[in-house]
Amino acid sequence: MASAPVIEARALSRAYAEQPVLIDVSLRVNEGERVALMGPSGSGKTTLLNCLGGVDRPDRGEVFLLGRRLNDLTGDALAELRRSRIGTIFQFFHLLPTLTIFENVELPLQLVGVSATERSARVTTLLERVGLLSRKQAFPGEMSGGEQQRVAVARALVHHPSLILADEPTGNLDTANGASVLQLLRELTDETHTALLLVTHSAEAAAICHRTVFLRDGRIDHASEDSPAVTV
Amino acid sequence: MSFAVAIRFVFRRAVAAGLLSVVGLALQLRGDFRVPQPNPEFHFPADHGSHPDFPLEWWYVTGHLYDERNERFGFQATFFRQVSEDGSERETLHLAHMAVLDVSRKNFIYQTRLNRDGWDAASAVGKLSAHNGNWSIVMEKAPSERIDLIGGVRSEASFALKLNPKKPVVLFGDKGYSRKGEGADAASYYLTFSRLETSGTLRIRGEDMKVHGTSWMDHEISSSRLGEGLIGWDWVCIQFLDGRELMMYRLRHADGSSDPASMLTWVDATGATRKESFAWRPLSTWTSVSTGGRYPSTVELSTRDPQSGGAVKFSIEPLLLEQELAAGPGGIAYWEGACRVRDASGKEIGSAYMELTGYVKPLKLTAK
Amino acid sequence: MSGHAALKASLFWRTTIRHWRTGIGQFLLMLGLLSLGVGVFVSVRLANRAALASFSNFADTLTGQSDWILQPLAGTLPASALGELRAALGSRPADLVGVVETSAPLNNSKEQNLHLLGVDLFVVTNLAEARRKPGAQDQRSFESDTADFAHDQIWVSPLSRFAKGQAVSASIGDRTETLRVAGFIPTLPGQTPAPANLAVMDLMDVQRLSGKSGQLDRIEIVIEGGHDEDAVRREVNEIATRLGAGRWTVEAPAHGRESANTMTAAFRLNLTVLSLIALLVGLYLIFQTLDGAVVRRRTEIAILRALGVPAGWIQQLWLAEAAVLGLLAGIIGAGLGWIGAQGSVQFIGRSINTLYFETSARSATLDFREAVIAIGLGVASSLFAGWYPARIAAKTPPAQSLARHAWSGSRQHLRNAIIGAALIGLGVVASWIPPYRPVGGVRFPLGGYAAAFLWIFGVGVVTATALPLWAWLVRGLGGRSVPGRVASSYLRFPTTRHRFSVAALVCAIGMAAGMAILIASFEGSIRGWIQQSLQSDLYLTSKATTTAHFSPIDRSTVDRIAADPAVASIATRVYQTIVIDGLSTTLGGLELKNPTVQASFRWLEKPRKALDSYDAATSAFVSESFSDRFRKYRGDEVSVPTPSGLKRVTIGGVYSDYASERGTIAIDEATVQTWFKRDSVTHIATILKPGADATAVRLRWAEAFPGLIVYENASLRGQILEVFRQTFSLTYALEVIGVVVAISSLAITLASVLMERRDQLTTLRALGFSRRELALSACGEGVAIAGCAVVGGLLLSLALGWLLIHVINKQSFGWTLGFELPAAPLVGLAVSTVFVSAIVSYAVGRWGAGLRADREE
Repeated sequence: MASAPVIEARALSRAYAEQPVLIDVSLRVNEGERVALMGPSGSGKTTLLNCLGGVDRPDRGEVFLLGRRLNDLTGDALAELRRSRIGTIFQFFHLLPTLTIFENVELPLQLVGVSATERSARVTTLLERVGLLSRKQAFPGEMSGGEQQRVAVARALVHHPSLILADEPTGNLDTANGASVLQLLRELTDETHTALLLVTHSAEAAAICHRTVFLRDGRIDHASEDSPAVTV
Repeated sequence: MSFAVAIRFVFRRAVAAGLLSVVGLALQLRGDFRVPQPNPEFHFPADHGSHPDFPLEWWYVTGHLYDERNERFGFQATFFRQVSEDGSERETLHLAHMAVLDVSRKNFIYQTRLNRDGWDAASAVGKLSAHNGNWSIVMEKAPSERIDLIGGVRSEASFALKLNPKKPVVLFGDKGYSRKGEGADAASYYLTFSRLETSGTLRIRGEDMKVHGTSWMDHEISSSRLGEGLIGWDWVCIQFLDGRELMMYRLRHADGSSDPASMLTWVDATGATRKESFAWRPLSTWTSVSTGGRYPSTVELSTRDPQSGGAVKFSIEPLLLEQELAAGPGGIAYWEGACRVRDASGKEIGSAYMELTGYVKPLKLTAK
Repeated sequence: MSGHAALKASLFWRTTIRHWRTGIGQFLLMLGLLSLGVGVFVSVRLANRAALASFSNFADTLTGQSDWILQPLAGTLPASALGELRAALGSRPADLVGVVETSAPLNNSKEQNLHLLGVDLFVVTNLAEARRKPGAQDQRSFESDTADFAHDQIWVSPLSRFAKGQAVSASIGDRTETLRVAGFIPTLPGQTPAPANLAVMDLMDVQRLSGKSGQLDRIEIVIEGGHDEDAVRREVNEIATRLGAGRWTVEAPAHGRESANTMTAAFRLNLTVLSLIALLVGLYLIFQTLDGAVVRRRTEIAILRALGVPAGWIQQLWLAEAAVLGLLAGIIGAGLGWIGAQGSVQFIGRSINTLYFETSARSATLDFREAVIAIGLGVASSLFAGWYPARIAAKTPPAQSLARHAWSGSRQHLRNAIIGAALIGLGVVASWIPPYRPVGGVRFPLGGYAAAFLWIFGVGVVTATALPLWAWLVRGLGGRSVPGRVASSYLRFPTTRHRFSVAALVCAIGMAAGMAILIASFEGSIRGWIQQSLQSDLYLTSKATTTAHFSPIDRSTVDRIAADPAVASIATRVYQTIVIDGLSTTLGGLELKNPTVQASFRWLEKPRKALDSYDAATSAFVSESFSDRFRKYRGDEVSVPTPSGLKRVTIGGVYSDYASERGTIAIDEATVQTWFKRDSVTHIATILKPGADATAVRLRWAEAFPGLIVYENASLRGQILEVFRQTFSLTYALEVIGVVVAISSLAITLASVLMERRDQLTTLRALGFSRRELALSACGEGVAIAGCAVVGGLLLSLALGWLLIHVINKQSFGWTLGFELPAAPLVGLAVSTVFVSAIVSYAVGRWGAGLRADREE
């Protein structure tokens, strides 16, 4: 893995109401690399994810996405960057209820201004890839959780982001469905050479990753790392 | 003579639009009106004024004007007095017609107005002084015979003219007694200033002009009776460049023939008159877009010149074809326009005003 | 950015519109209510305009257009003024049209009075020719089928129900005349037909019939068309003005319309403002609905944000939602308004007839401009109300941090209370602002209206802030019951929508109750005034007399009445329209030395000595409206225009009078008769001998004097109160609509709150709540909201009542009214509001209890 860093955090600290949540956290995910972020509830996983995704801003420290320093960007510029370079998967799927499956997957492409014909082609390809093309006119409310999450995976990847941030993508699924979503994630990120930062409690999920980072009380727990090649 | 317009007021049934029927201008005059009699005696200037003991009377001025750049204009200014009677009621009405022709701009405008006798319309007895709305005709105090004429068309045009007689009053017919068809009472007194030197101001389209020219004024005092079987008439007055004038009227029967009461009269340089026989031949016609009336346009008039004693032919050509007075209270259309007169060789020898009636539809000129 | 526009449109379609489709019922309800708000406003506006338009056409029908109208300062103009004018105008091309008008009530018919317009038919026919464009052929005149001209011929409107040749029996003055329909008034091209009650007759005939021989009510001048028209128009105005100094005024017809406008401005303004109640409540409704939608859809907004949709777009989407809603409501409202106007135009026309002048409006038309106004109003109010929810929506963080921060739109109560108090304070200041006097004697209570709006909003905000206090009350009342406890727990932390429900109801109740207070006070004052001013047994006026036109009664008739064996005494009055400072007002000639007349005055500024000791020729007593309108008070001098010149009189006192807002100046009757060289009167009041049967005498007189109306004291009182009630009847309808909209908005609020609580409802059901208990809990919530709003609304109504009586009414009409609290109607309003709210909330609660929990959201 020739490794240009896709996302890099340097000494991030974040506190809510005087309560430190992240303390001096540094992390780097390279191109095509899958990293699992594990840790007990309240350890700061989601806060870290939000800081990396530009949704939250750290009190101290820097975040670089593809070499750009996020700290300097305005809200709109962050939204622009998020829209084009990042795909996001949530625990509760978060599909838009009034959009069909097709439209949900299409939305990120619309946001980055891809032409209608190309949008159609890409969405169709991807929906076929996740096995849901036949249901493209269905609304999210008509689908099972596993199906919804596969749509969410498609949505996260459709605009060819450099980085996917996934927050407990299998947390709300049964084992079988969880496994199929994880499989899909691994295959697709491999195929597209996309970096993945996956927040999870589950060992099965962590297993698809190249390495795992542990967060405890807002700090990286180096002792628990399973890979010698940690870049800090 | 130009009684066309006045006459039509008498014949209520001939009127299409309803005003007249509203006011009920029926000619059912009781017998206490006077009828023109032969061998009249006139006293001027008193007889230039109104004669209320006759039911119908008019002062009818037409003229040719030139501004300082020699642009040519024509005008018509007519004041009628008419008595209508309905049951026991008798009402005096005043009608006036105004028209202005701008020859170079080919523009002809006109307006008519009908008022009851009273604050806005009247004609004085004992002197020439008549007005209708903002229009008026007044003769200066004797011994002057100069006439002040104020007229206009809406807010489009206005004129204030001084008319100065160059010849004494002409008495047409028999010493002023003029027959209007068969029947003892079909007659009028016909008094004319055949050459009025005219000067004053003309305002048209916001432009004030000093104008000068020549006018003709008829004053007729009528029984308001016409002969039977007439459908209309043609009338023309010519002012020749040689200082003479000619007046002709032709009462038309339904078959197109002229009534024997038709007449042509020459006025020489001194004002003396001479009747001559004549022939009237339209050379071309013009059809009105607004009324559909088909009028003669250029007319050939053949008669004898009393000065030379030889036969003469004139052609009378309208300065503009569109000189029809198509609408107004009463609603009968007629053509009254300024013309130029040429001799047989085509040389322009004078100016004329021509009146053509009964061409839109026959006038039912049956007197009671 | 066209790509962005397409994307925004796609988002709008795929989110907003699809939400509407899912919640179609609620959407339609809200749209309906909002449309109703716009519709009520539009209908009152259209009807107002139609009523006035028929007035303005009235003057223009015959002449096509008059350029100048000469109105006598007092009495009539002598017909000789026409000749004088013509002489002064010289050769200027202007047509002078003398006009005499009279009102001719139809006998044996309940229909409107015939309005008889006398003009010289020749002159009118000339006008078509005078205004004709060169080359144009069109010419119309009065046509008749009848063979002969007669002096009983009238031409009627093509809109009237008369047929040609029909004989019409009408009262003119105090005589009965038979008029014959000769034909129809021609309709000029591009003009509306003459009003249905208009009849034209030859000038001299109307002069003769109305006893105005040699007199004119006005002169209209038509400038003949053409190049010099404008210059002629100016010159004619100058000449006519110079010539008429001290005798007549020269006005453009637009000015006549203007005075019709200003005359009824206050009346129409009141209606218009009232018609805004529904719209105002609708504003609250939009706010609540959008605010609720923002809360319900915040996850969706958060996802969009997470996917990279900028905050600005979110705001635009929500504003677009508000705008489209407003647009639809505007379009539907314009249609509803048009329908409503067809009914209300009759009503407003009738009121204006009774109160001001004769109009014959039958239908209102909706033109492009009015439709645009309606739609503009809908869109503008929606955007106004939707602005805040849209801003809140835009502040929604992306989905990743939504759960973390427990985001909510909660606002600070204390800050709201302070804002509310500040609004109320500003309102107090505004109520002190003196009336705005633009032109034409109009007094517009700008400050009063500003105060009203500030108080409505201020009291709404303050009352809404007090909602948590009601949690205690609910606990106290139904505290032991479980539903009561649940309801009170929600009230302790009310949502914005709870508070806006309160504010909307406060607004509706406050305005409705405030108007009720005004009307009660008005009625009370009028009853008192009638009590004092109507002391005689029988009253007689000409059937043709209206508030704007006084028709004379001959001296011979007066003498016959006085000589009647049943009569103990009579008092006569002569009323006359005059113009002072360019404004029409009424000059009343009264028997000021007659003790009965003296006793009929209710003094606001009492004369300093006995009425008998005032000099008849130099003293006047003025009504409050007069005093207020002309700003003349006791001791001030007034110059009264009369045919005998200007007469200077000194005001001896100011009395209260609710008869006319034009004001009345009362002078000794004999003095007025001398000034105006007349001996006819306009009103007769008789006191009968003891034992005489008033009804029998009335019937006898009604037969003997067919042109007169004879009132018995009681029926005249009834008549006056009837007119009064009629004037306010539309008001009630407007109020009811306002309250209905407010209660509906309460229902929408509860429904949307219950939707959000689906999780909790499921939990409550799991805990063993029955459907009935859940409904009761919602009912408790609704009752608390309604109760809170009723208290605030009633307090607001006291303030608004005071404002309406002492500021708005006083400033616009110049009438002092005593404050009266209509206890029964107010209690009724309060109780019925709470009761209806309880039922509605219970129903919504039952519906909510059946909602399926949606745990996925």
